[in-house]
Amino acid sequence: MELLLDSLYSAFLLFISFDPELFEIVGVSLTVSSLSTLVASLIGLPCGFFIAFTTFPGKRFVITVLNTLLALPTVVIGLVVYSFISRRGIFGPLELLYTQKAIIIGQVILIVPVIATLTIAAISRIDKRYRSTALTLGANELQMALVIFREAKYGVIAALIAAFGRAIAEVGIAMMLGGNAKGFTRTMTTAMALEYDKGEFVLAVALGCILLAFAFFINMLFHFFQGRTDIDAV
Amino acid sequence: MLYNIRNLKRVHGDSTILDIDALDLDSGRICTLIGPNGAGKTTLLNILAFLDMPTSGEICFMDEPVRFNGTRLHQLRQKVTLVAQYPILFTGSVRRNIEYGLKLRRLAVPERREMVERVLDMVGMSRFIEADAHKLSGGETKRVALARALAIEPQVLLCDEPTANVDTENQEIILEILKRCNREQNVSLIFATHYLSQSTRLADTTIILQNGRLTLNTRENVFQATLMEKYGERRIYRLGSRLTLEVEAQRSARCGQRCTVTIAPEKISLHRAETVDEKAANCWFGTIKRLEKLNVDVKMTVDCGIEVQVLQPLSEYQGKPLFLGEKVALTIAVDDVVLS
Repeated sequence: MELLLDSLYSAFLLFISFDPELFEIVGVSLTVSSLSTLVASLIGLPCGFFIAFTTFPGKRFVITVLNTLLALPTVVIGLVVYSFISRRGIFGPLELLYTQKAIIIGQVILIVPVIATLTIAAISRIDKRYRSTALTLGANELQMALVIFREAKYGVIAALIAAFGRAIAEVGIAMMLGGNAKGFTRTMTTAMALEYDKGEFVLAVALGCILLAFAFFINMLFHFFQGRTDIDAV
Repeated sequence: MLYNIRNLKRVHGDSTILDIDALDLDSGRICTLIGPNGAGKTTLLNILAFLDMPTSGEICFMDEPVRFNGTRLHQLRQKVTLVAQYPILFTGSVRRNIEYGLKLRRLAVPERREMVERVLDMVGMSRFIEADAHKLSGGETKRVALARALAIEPQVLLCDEPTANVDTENQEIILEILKRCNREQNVSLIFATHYLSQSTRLADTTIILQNGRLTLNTRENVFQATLMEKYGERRIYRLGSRLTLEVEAQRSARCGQRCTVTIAPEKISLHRAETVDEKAANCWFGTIKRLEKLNVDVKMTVDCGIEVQVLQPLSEYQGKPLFLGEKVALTIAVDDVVLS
């Protein structure tokens, strides 16, 4: 208990002294996770929208696969991506391994199913009458899709927040594909693992506190938007 | 002609929701769709609004065949709008809802504002212009949905039960708006209703649907008749005690057999009695017992021994006005009689 309290106190001092190493790690984490969420949203949102909005053979199977992918362990993704981008992999010449790009690729694979499934859920909740109303008022298919998207916006934002939270909190992909290079690919989670291995708890606890604060903030946002969606549905 | 429908069918799974052999609707008129729940009124309205695709059959809209998979469908939809029985408003203000269709039509901001104010004034909802659309009551939602539809100035306005679940005061407001937009903007109006009273009060044409089928164009001019004589492809039926009717053979029947004869009021020609030969076929003489001015027609009840309803366009009537008690002759074309 004493160790934890000491660590918390030291972490607080580290935080208020604007320790450059601490903020560098936080910066890398935020950059990588934000870019992952951005790229994954460009894939996951249209996919989710398409699946929710259209009827095609095997739709139920696709949704089941996406739901299964939600439980995909990060180390599995790390291994698969590693096999592609390592020197002997087919994308080896691109020299992606141990770069932020490699972490982004892995995290995109991790969170696309999150965005897609939550988007499907958000779109499916939207009243079907919005579609016919937009069409009868003169909208074309794209304009009608935008109406649906707008009506589902709180659910879609909640999907993006959940995906960001998943990306920033994962450790397996960042460790295996990023390599935990200081100032370059060291994220909050990989730094915490390293400091723990070294027996240096102060930075690990400080990072843990920041990560928890982020998680709290993200959950607050998530529940805010989820709440808005529920109210709209009523 | 606004709509020509031929052999239209809409099938869901094993059940046939709609099965209409032929239906023609004129433009600029008010037409009501009457029928019990599940009769196919909403399905028909959705098809007329090009929101639902018939399983088979043909629809011509303003003499243009409608291709439900074609690229023209969007342009056709822009001429027709449907106000659903339970309309839904978009999230946001009432103004945003009404502006939606106008934005799609790329109307300039000042024109949009003017139109929003005009239609809201028309439906008596001006003070709700900035209100949250989802916080309106059922009646208010219906009026805003109607305003949203009117704002885009459609050529055809389809309404599904516009007065259902609305209090009496709001019902009158809605009916008056519908009547006004037909009269002042020449909008063709087709609305489904449960109330026959609304139909008789407002409509120029009434369509009755039962189990997805068109029973009759109206409930008027339905008579019991007895087959008296056959010759070639023609049949002579007797109606009442003295009237005879010559029709084309539509099905096998033997002399003395009874059937139902239907004659659409708008298909009957009306003449002054002295201008018609008494011996002409399908010519009935009688006196005008009742005259009623409808929206764009004049409805006359002629006593020929049986009461016959005749519908004459107002412009035609004004050219040659007829009066109560006047002796007139009715002529009916052989192919305008429906036997059932």
